[in-house]
Amino acid sequence: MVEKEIQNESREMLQESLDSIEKMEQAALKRVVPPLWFGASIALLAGALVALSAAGLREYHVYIILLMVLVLVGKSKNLGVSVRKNHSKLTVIALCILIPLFFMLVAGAQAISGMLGNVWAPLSAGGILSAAVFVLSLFERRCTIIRVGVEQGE
Amino acid sequence: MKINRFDTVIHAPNRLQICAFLAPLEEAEFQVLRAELGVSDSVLSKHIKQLEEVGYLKQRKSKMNGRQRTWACLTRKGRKAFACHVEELKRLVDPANQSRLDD
Repeated sequence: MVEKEIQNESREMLQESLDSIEKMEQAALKRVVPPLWFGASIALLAGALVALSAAGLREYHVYIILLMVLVLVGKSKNLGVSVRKNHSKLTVIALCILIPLFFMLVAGAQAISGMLGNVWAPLSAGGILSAAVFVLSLFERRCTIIRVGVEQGE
Repeated sequence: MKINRFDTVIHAPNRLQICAFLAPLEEAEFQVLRAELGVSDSVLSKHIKQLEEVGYLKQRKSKMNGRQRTWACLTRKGRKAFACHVEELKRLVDPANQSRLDD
């Protein structure tokens, strides 16, 4: 019965249906390209977390974490869509490197605070992590753009 | 073995577009869906309800800045049905299957 129904529909119409599916999938993916401000904000906040940890100001962590949550929620609400988690293998590897890097930078900053001082050592460590997170966010953004097949600014 | 299935509920143009838009996403807001489809609130509601009735779609309401927002997402059953439907469409437009359609 279903086969009969299908036969009534021309092949062109079925192809049109497939084209409309592709068009809508592209439209959905275009909406999930992460904005630049998102990567920059998360990078800055992650750097601040390292800097505060290295400076021994752990009581301020809660504010940074709250800001991170606000940034994540804000991004999701602004887009009006939320993404299915489908990270590339390279991103997963990079994230696995970032976590030990976080602790290494905190420990490193505390070790060299005698040399650079109590301000510059944490700030340097925070700067390094910020740069690493920002580069990762740019890479993720680029991957999404390539996947979607749209150029920046389109 | 994977069974391809032509789904008449999904195949209606607007419902097909709703499923196609939601497929790569976790969920999407009602207003976003409406804008992408270019249909009225009532038309979109009608199609969403039809998809919900067969268990392909789920709605969630959230309040933000005192405004109610509705989010829609495909269920696991809906994702499976949509994937099967797309596979079936691809199979049908494949020139190798043309003779079968013409018979």
